[in-house]
Amino acid sequence: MKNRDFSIYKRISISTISLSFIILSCTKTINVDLPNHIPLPIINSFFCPCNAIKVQLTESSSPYISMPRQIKNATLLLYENGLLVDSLIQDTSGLYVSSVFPQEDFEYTLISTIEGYDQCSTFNKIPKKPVLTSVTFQDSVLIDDDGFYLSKAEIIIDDVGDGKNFYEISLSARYFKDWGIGGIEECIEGLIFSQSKNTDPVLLESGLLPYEYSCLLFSNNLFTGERYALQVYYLDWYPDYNEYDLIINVRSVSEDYYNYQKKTKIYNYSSGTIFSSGDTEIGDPVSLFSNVENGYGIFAAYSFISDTIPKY
Amino acid sequence: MKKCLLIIFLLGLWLNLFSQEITVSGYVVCSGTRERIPGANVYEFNSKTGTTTNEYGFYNLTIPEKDSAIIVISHVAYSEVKYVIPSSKNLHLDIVMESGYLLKEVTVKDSSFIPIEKRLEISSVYLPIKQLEKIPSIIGEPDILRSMQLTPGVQTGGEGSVGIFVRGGSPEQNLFLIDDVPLYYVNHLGGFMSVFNSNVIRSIKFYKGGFPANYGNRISSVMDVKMKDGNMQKLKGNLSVGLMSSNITLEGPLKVDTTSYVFSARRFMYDIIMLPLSYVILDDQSAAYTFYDLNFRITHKINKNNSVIMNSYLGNDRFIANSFFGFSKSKTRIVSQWGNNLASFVWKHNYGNNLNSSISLSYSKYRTSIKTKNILKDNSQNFESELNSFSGISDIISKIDFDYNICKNLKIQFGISGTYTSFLPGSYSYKSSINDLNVIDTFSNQIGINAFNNSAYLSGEFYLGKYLSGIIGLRMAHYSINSKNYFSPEPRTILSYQIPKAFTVKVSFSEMHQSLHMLSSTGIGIPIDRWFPATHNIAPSHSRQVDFGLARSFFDNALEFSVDAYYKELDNLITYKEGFSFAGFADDWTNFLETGGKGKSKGVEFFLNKTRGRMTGFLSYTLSRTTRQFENINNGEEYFYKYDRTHDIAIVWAFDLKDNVNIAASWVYGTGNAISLPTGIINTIEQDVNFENQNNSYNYNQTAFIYDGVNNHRMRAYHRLDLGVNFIKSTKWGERTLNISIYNVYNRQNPYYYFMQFDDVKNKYNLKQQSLFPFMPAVSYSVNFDKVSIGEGLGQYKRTKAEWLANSSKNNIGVQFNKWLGYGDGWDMHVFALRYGYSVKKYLRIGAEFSGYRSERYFGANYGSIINHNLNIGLFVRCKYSKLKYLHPFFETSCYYSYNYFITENEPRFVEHQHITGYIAPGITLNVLKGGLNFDIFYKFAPIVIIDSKKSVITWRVGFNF
Repeated sequence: MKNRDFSIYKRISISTISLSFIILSCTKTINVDLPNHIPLPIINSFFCPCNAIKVQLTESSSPYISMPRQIKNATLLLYENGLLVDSLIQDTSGLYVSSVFPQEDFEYTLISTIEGYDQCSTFNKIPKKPVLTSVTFQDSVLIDDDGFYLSKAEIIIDDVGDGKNFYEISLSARYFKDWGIGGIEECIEGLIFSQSKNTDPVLLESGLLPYEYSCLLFSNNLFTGERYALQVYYLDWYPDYNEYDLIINVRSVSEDYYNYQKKTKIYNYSSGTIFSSGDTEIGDPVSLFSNVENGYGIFAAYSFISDTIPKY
Repeated sequence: MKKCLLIIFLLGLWLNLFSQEITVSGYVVCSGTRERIPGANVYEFNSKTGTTTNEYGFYNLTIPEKDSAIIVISHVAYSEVKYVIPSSKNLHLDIVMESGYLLKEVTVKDSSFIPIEKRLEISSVYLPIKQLEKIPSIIGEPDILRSMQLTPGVQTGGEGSVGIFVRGGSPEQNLFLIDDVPLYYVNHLGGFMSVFNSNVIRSIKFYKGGFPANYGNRISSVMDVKMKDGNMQKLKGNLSVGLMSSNITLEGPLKVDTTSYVFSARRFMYDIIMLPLSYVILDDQSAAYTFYDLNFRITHKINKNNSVIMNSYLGNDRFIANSFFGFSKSKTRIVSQWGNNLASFVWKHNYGNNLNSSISLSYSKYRTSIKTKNILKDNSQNFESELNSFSGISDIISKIDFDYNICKNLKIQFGISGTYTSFLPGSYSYKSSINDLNVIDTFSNQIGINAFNNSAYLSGEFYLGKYLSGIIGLRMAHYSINSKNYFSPEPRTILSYQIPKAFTVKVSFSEMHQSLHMLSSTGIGIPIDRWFPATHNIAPSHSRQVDFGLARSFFDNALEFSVDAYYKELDNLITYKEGFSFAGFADDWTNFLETGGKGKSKGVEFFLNKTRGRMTGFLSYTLSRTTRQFENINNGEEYFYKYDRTHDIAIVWAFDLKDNVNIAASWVYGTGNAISLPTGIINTIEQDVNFENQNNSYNYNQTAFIYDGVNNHRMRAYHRLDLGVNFIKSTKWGERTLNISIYNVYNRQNPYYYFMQFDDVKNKYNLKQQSLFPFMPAVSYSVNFDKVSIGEGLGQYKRTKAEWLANSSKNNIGVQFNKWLGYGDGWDMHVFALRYGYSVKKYLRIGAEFSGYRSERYFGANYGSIINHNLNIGLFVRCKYSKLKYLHPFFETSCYYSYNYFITENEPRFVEHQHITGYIAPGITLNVLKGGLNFDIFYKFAPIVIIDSKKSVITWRVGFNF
């Protein structure tokens, strides 16, 4: 709430201070002598076990010339633990889709051959499924600085192995909306984590709390190979319908996935618009993470476990 | 270091012991105003020895013991004075100088006329105030800080940016002092005007390097502004009316030759037309901005060796913005206020011929607040929310400084100071209601953080032979916060060698620490400065600077030339974390900070300054490079500081066409600010926001810019030409000046900021530049009255006792009724007072008063309105100085019974509390209509809250005498 309020304030302030000089101020298009942008392929894909791998393949561009364009007729080969297993086929939406389903703890390599570009390659290994030991919820245990009630969840996970592991957690509520003659619809809404009251050291260590409120992204740096009880506060959810289920989604994500998401969240946080026109503010730059050789984008894997807690 | 100081001390003693010398000392004062003159040259003709008066106008000259000596006193603005004195024993000699055989514009006293090669300073700037005042400005009113930014090494952040940047430092690293009291906020109107009103300023010293040891707790620059003492002889004044700002200044004696005052008030008037005009033009938005500055100072000479000074400053900026949404009654209103208050009390004492001291107690406060109110209305509901945010910092400072002339070749300065600083990094309240039903009403008062800054310094100024001189000093700074202590030694050194008939070579080394950090959202024009203390995890920032300079004056000091090269390193800097540009007032401020940063700045500065003659002006050029480095920004690599400016040029020219007409022009050029620009655009992948099918649903339509580094590109260069002309006319009561100025003569569109605008047709972005100030003419009109007879009323009128008894009325009734103009925190308040007073003596009045206030605030449908009544009844005693005709300063104290009760509209609740309390209040009375009517204004200080959470308030009464 606070950050959004200040964001509004900032925009209005920019707008109104400029209005102070509206009679005299002016805007003009300018040409800046920028180095020519060399287009490179962009590979974007998150994948997990039991789902086909979908890859978006586009081409970067200079923002002053055009937007990124889709690349057609490319050859994308998929390797599983070093063995060629598939050639991805472009579907009607333009995504390249695999016919094989990836598996946990396997490494996948994607090599793309595109006319006019050097060969791009990227790889990632699907982490093992997270071990969710237990989840407990307490409703309305706290009031935050803005006066909203917060619920608390204690999520116990077992970290496996002695290496680096990364996790992503989201909470959502599922309910059924009765449209009367229109029938009943299943709805899922994500819950919002408190940015000011979540003080679990594991979350603080990730440094991402100020940037994100819809999911929690963290590493096992503070509990390597151990069981950890994560204390999480989220905003009470007031459903339109009395009965709803809580769904917890715990992902074990690869390091590349973690790095990409972290940078992207920071990037999105810093990107803003000025005035009501939607013009884009130029802030301090945030460089996005990429694991694609000779290109941009991300090819990153995760595995997940979900649990549904029926309530009320 | 200790050995060095010991050697110098012993050397001084040795020089003193083995020469038969006497000391002549005293004050040099102006015959017209009785103000003391700093920077006057005092010279003994036979021995060829000389000195200059210090900032208090005090000199101390050591000469050989003889039968007689010829003392010559000179100053560029005064007629030379010669005295033949007996020189067989120490002598106190006060000297009166007659003003003005030279040009009119240099009647303001300033130490600028000590030849540059003889000034034991490096990287410092002296410009006569009158010269600075001629420089054309954006709103036709001279501004000293703005003019100072034209000198080498000092720059603005660009169009519409507040703060000044000195040698690669950031704005919070500059120490601004008004009579030795620090100010935290020095700019009005997005940096186009400063809080320094040139009408009340006596002198300015500005240091970019070679810092004297008595300054501390900032790491980039020091601007030491001294206010005028006030005319000890007669009333003088200035009234100026401009298209945008107006001000009035009065100075004169409260008691001739003993007590003087200076008062100045200035207000920015643009808001009066701005608010309606913007609404008409824009339909759905309106905005207004205003500020005011109040300066008040009293100087009282107790005797020739003692004087006391009381000084105060109040300043406030206020910005109001309204946004209206369509035909509904929905709107957003923002009221933002910020500013400084300061007050100081100084006792200056001369212990004899060689030792001076200054003891001071002062208070300085900076505060900022933002009130945002949203009203969203549609057919079914009415949503209202209000967010109030506060932030501030305050200092209580005590210090003692000594100035001791051991001998003619050695002078030392030493002193100690202690500062108690209270930080309020942020607190806020938030409330919202739907259909008048309170949903949220919270208040988050972040715990204030207190810290102590203590320091001690010793500095020795020595002269070895005719050409070699220097200053060696050491400052020890101690900073304590939450039981964490930082001890920081800060060596300061300047060495100067004057090559005969050539340049003077100067070198210096300075080390500084700063326990305050600040982050500001300077980019959006309104300064939302948040000051943070150094803590356990955030160390005080630190600078280390080396300077090398050459200086020489030509044509009898009329032309000065200097070149300075510097190298500066900065440590323990902070900035926003990657992705942040605004921390708001959230209490988790450490989450937003990137700490442990480093900075480097190096450059060469050239300065050619013509200070006298019909034509004056200067040329300054700076070649510099400034970088920053943070572990988590730009992959840990060094990058250009946003305000790095490779080339910075300023040319200022002023010419007296006639005795009563002068013209001036200034042209500035600066390399564009460093900026990060997108060089490419790519697609990104994100989790689908609706959370359906969480594990296989992604959004591929988002895009992101890619950059080739931080601040790798430059905005367009900044340049601008300003012109100004003054028409001066002498009248029987003084003179009036008509100023016409043009800002940005050739209408250069300088960049304010860049942004990206998407072109839907061409499916690409355009890079756009927003500019603020193109061609802008301005007119201002001012009158200076120093011959007017009303001055005698204030300054020289002395009633006889019989006159007083004949004319005075012993009974007085005073009333007050007004709406409370303070913040009020949502309460609608009205204040009233009624009093009766009886003058038992001409200087003493006693009386009784009944006063109070009524306040009301709506708390939603559940509670309705809460009404608070405050009633006070008590006695007061007032001591007044009533020898003046119109103005009577007074001091009042009161003891009273206070009763409060609250009534809740919708609930049968009644809360009351009561107490006995009191206040003390200095103030001043203005008498008009031959004393029949008076207007009192006074400042109450109380041990408990008086009104609106304030323990000190300004209040007023209108009185009838009978």
